[in-house]
Amino acid sequence: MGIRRLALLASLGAAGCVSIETAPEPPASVPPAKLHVHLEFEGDRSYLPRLFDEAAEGDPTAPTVHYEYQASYEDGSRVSFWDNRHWREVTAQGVLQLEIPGKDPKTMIEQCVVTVKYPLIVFNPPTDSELRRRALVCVRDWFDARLTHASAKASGAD
Amino acid sequence: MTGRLRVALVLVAAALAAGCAATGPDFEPVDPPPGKALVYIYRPELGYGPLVRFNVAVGDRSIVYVIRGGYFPYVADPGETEFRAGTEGDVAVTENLRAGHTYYLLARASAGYWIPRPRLEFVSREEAEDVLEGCVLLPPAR
Repeated sequence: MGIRRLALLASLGAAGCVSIETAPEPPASVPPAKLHVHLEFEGDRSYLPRLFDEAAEGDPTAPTVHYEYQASYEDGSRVSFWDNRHWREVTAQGVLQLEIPGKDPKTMIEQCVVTVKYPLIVFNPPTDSELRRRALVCVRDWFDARLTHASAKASGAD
Repeated sequence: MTGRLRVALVLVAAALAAGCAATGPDFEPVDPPPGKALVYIYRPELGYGPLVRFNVAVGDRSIVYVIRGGYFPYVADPGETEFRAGTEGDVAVTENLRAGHTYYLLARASAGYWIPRPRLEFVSREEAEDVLEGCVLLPPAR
């Protein structure tokens, strides 16, 4: 059996052992409400909560939103007779500051942790970029879910 | 005879390893140009897989072949930027680069199935500084 075949077999065997978990689980997809705001944001717009739309320039009634995100990494190995596995964890955090004219500013934080576990030898585990993307999308979706829920609650109270 | 063979093998291994160490001008800190971010891509002198060198790329563009004990200052446009490297397996790490900021991308080799694999990781300035001081400038990839 050639080395390529052996490598292919080994990678197929190992591929089945890769597991990815997200905590908390991303929320069920809810069409987000829309909020027109003045945005202060530097980054990839696909990580920005979808709730926000740009308000007309100079609109004095529109809230101002400042959004920042970051990711950090950690990894480790567990080596024993029964279980030889490697894990890598990406923690993504989003910090959102909402300033509504005439009200006190509010700061909200959401965090998601994506953990991948795989055997010590595996050919192509998910890259840090892929794990980071998954974690940042989870953070975005939690902001959408919470803000949509809060806005529905506020409308009901009116 | 066995003793001589052993010594010869050690000398050959040492010569090979020494041949892979980076040579060039010593580390010189620079500031990011206006409107740009600066990423120091570096590889420590000591570490796994000293004989393996690998290319660090952004998109389709090769930036530098990292050799142990070498660094390269990469000037980047601000925004989400993915750095990739690969031997038998690919690795990729993304950072949201900001204008006027300096980043430190640690490039290492780790255990692989057939050959060592690259590992890329953004680290803090504190973690990078001491190692960078002992690095030499690498030429850009062609």
